[in-house]
Amino acid sequence: MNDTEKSMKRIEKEIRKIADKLLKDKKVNLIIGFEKGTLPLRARPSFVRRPEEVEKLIWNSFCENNLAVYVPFYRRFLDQGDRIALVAKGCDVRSLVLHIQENVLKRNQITIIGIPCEGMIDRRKLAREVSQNEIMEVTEESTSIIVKGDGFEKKFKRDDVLCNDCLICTHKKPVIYDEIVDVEATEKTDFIERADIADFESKSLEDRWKFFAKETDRCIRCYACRNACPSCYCNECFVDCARPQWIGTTVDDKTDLQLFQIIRTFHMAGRCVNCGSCTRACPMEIGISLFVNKLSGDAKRLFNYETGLDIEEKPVLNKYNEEDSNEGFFEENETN
Amino acid sequence: MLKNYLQYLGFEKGRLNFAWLSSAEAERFVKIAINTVEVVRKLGPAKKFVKKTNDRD
Repeated sequence: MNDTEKSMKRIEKEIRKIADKLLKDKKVNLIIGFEKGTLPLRARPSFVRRPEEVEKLIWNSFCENNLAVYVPFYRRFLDQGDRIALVAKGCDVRSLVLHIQENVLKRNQITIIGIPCEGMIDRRKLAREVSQNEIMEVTEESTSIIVKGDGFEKKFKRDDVLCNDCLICTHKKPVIYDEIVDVEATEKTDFIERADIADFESKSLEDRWKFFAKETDRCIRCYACRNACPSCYCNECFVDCARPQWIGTTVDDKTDLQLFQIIRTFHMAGRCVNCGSCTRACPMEIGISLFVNKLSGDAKRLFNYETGLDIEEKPVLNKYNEEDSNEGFFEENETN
Repeated sequence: MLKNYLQYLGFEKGRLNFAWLSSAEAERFVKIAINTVEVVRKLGPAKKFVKKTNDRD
């Protein structure tokens, strides 16, 4: 057994141990983690209520969902006294911090099992690399990953097939936690902007619009991005609202698709933790995070703010400071 | 942020305009209104993001 596999297995063991203890001590009555998916390269969210079930819990490089997404659903039960423990990566914890900031839950209502995470693997990148061939088996090594299928075996460098959003991750280690799986982890790094954002910005206005229109054109309005996003938890989403109806609900009119993407992503301004769940959830493979990441970049550039780091702080657009940048507002000497 | 974002997605710079002013600043308001109209007129009619109207309209 090699390093990553060893540390993955160790994390898995630790998770089970912590989960078992939490359930037996009756500290929590539900643990949300991951279990094996039905296909290779997939792990699926798992809801464990009994100590006998903790053996189901797993940990590998495909535990990609942001599990904080389930917390708003349990809000009612949390208020009735239920206690939940969440197996959480760096980004999941940042989402939980955002939930606490926005009063979705109180800090003492959740037990965070923090997992330092070195990034999740993008199964679509792998699938593209092996083109039409189906991947049947996968083995992880310290810095590489081996996929096997009918008549082929290929080895990839882990860094080459990580999710785009994991490449710019700044807080691999959870910022708050109750229990932490103690493995070596990369400490906090400085804010990184995605390279393709600069590329995209250097294009002309028309080209940018063309690209955006082309991407959103594929949208089938399945709302998977909305459902996968931990920051998207409105009781009634603006697209479902019928009185007044803000937006058409079909795919006939392309402007409705564009409007949906613009508004949903803009609602993430200063609230997105760059977990990349929206992009991974999109069945049409729209590169949503290329758009949302721009907003995180602006939050950093204009307000020096990163989402979900401090439970005492307010979300950036809820604050007003006289010193705030006036960028974008009309100024006397401006020639537009 | 919204203005930046829309520009990033390919909307013209002057298509969305914000101003921060008090109800006591009448003169400034006039100035801004005139300026906004000028800016938008220069851009011409919007070609992007135009909703098809219903047949019955």
